[in-house]
Amino acid sequence: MPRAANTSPQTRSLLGALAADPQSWRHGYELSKLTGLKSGTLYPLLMRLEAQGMLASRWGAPLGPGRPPRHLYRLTRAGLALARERERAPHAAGLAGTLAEIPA
Amino acid sequence: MSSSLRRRWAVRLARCAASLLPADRTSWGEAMRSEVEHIDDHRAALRWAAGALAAAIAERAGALLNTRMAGGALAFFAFAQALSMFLAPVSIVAYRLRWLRIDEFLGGRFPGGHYQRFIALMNATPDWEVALWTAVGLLYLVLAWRLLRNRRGAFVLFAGGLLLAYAVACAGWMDRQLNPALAEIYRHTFTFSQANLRRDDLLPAAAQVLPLLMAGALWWREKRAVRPAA
Repeated sequence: MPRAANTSPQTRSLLGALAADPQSWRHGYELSKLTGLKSGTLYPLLMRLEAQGMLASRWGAPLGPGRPPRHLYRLTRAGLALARERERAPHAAGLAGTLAEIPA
Repeated sequence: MSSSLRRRWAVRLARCAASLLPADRTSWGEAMRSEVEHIDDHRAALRWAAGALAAAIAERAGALLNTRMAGGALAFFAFAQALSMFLAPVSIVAYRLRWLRIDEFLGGRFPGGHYQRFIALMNATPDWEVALWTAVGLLYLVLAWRLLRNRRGAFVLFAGGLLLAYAVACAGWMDRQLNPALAEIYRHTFTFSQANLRRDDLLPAAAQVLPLLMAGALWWREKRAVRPAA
């Protein structure tokens, strides 16, 4: 049985870090430090959340010569709602998602 | 490794990661490359780039496995697995019903080369074993159909079929341990006067490894499919 989306501890940790200050745009390395997630875990999560419409991304302003613009992230309104939901009842959300995915 | 070398490798790996990502993820490749440029610690930059490369490889593999062509290839393999599961039950049932033309045709596909080699074994094989191998074959047929229709749940079906196949093989082995006459028939059937690399080594190894590779591919395919938020 496939597990429910966005219920893994890594995803919850990432959602929590982004939801802590939902107005700020954060870059990948900063999110890695905040959550302890390595880039190999972080990028797939960011990509998946963006594909689901939970994450907004944009390019920051160039910081000087030899420093390309950085990719920045923050939660969308839907992403923030999901983060709040996961914060409130992470296990219940996981169970509900799992039950919802059982084919009739 | 010197600092400058670490930095050079970090840049190379990030570039490689960017080139590996599927076309619809180009901006993510650029994000990985630019992030490396902003990490001042060379060792941390190298670790970051290596992780990004692993993520890019996983994304690429997931994207490849989710194409229609990959789905078709997996369905073909599931169909081939189903046929291999049906081979013994169909031979046994055909022999018991005396439809010997079917056995003559299928006998050439067995490692012995002729169905007469298997007569004693076909007589001795219990009905429950025939029924269970048929059930595994049917499971694989359903799996092939679901893969062709791009339906989810393929991994669970295949894993279920694989576990059932292992369980039937184990039950058959235990049956032979408890029944020396059956064990002797089995041993005699599968003892050959001359060694054959394909029959004795390659085919048994492939029969063990390919299903595990298939299970890995199906698991990865479902893990990497974009799912709606819960």
